[in-house]
Amino acid sequence: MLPKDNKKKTKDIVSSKVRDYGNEPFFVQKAEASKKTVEKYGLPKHWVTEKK
Amino acid sequence: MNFDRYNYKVSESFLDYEFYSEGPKGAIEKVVRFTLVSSPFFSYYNLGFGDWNEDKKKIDDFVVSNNLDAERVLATVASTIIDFTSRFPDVIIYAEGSTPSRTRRYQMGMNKYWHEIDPIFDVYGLVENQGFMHFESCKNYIAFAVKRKKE
Repeated sequence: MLPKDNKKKTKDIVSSKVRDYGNEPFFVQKAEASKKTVEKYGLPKHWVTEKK
Repeated sequence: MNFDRYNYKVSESFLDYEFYSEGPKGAIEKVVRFTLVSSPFFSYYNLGFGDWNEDKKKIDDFVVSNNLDAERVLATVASTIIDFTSRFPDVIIYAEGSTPSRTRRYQMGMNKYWHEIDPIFDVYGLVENQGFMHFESCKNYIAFAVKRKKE
């Protein structure tokens, strides 16, 4: 068993200095590629509710 | 979950996570990005992960940084999924490695921590030419989809 994730030691923070990667080509291309895959196979049916 | 992982910073939108891998290659900035993908029939967040190249000001495609901390890096990525879905419990996360070996690495990580993952997440693996199926450790998948179980 690994050591517990001690909250006193973790220093995860919300920061305005983290970049917005929304337009980063790598992530955009990966998302577009994933969409083609998901369109081909569909997501697990019981997860999906049709948008109206 | 009990992970040995890196601390991260998250953007105010909670879509972007940054952390540093530390090892023989020095400090390497890693980025996790959750990108919304939607259509009339579905919506989910694609998990993107890569190394930030400060000189080129872009994510390095397919770089193998090999900082001898792969497990810790993977644990950190897993932690971002846990954090993101704790904030947005109804979202679906889709993840596929940039290469088959990386997808395989994701699977190995899930196999290892399955006893901690299974109580919290519904996990599906994508079988080529077949579709999404409930995750089983003995099978090979080309991608994954996860969603928090209802409490």
